[in-house]
Amino acid sequence: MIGLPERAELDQAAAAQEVGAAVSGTSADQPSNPYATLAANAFASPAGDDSGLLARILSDPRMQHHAGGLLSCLQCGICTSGCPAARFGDFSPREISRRALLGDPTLLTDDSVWLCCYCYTCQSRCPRGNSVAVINQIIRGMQVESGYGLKHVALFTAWTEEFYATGLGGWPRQLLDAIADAWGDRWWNLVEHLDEMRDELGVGSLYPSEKAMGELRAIMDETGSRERLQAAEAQPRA
Amino acid sequence: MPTTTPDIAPITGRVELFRSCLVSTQYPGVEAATKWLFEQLDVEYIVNSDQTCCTGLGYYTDVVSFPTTVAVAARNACVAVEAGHPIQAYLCSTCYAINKKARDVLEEPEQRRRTNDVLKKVGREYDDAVASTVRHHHVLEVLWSRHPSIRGLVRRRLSGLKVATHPACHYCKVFPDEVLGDGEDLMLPEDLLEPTGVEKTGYYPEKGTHCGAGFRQRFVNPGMSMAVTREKLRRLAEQGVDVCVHMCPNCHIQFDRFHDVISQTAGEDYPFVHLHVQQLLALALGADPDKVCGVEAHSQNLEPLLERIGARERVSVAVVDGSAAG
Repeated sequence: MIGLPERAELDQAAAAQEVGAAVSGTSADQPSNPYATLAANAFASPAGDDSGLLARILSDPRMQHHAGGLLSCLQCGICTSGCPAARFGDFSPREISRRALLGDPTLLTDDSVWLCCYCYTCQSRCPRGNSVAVINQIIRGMQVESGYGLKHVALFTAWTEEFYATGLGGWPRQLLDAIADAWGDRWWNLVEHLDEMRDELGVGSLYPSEKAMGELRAIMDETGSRERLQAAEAQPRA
Repeated sequence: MPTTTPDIAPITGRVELFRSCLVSTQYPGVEAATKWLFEQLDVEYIVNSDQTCCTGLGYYTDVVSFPTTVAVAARNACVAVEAGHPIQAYLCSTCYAINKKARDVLEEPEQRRRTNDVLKKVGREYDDAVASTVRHHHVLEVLWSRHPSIRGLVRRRLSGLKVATHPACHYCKVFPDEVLGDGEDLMLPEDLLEPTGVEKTGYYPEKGTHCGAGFRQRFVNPGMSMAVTREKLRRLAEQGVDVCVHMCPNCHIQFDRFHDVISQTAGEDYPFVHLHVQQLLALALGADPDKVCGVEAHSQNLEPLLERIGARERVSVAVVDGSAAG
């Protein structure tokens, strides 16, 4: 269910970034020191990758400039220090990097990777050239392919439907309508008059040519996007 | 404040203005203003109806797989080269990053072979000729390559207008080595506006913080999403800015559409507005706010700003060069 945050929720998120709050992610009845866990595992050898997950991540083409960076991750935490999802949510890119190095198979059923904003701050600041943003893309993709992550993408199947039908992405109306009430009259004016505005601006048709759309559908069929869409549509939404 | 963005050779001719799904459906004036600026600065360009959307929103909401995204990027590169306009100029920073990522991945023989197996079905091939011809630039880079011409084209001075940059993450952080300037303190937008007389803000706390949209987060975790946006709005308000300029339509949505919502929810005043760099630059060069910049599509009320900079009065060449009024 999509809803706009109340003032209290904004304040709560702002408070979560205070020093101390960031490391109190565990529940009150299970006090733990995250640094102790880290120290116990930080120097474990990647050679212990029994799950094959590390090898799978390292061989992904998206890691082409980052595989060496992951292998040489020194757990400095600069990724987490700049991460908006760590600051305003319960997420740690440093932990993702550590667990990826260990080939930790529980990453494939970990919902926290879905908090990443894909802002790439971790990647751009990493002194080793690692990219947790990319690792998250790989793990989310694996979760979708295994079926576990379908609940997280079910809401966005409208995007694929629209793209397949029109060759145009954009945020689908189904998504925007759920949050746009707060945007007021000027938003609804745009929705109603987009075509007239585009005419006045002389920017032509919204959609690509029929030829382009035909080629696009063939590419999506050939690369399995249709199957992915159908699997996601069969899922209840998270 | 002197400009710090490195000079580059003019990006001349044969540009394909790469259409963006979010610009097309949310702020079509950004595309129109860009075309208008290209014409003012003699950039030879086409809009190619055989180009499709880059899949960025689908990829980053994880409903579209990476092989689909790479194949679509490879196809779009083939189309641009085929049309003889191989310089893909991006309105959206996610299109920019997606296409550059595909460019790098397609340099790996195995990935290129797999992608070409897909493209074979549509009678295309991403071969060495395409790879060595296609080029990827953000629209602002194309404009910057012509920046010495801007000063003589200014028709509405923006003196006293304080402008700050929201640096787009997918321009600054995905390929930091290819950024024009410092990705942690991007000055390209403000440097482009420098000849118009704006007061530049430069670095400010939270400058590098993302917009808050986070693709899925805006819809799934609106509390986290808007808490990030609020932090940035507060910092911009502290700087006393008049306009925050954008270079990515997804950031622009987050700020323009949620600015007043967050202000009311948080009970805080953020007395400034959001525009795309190209819109503000076009206004300074005399463009019509409605017919070129499409301000009607914005959620914020831009009228006080337009009044202040004289954009509600007609301008003519005579304002500057002193010749007879046209």
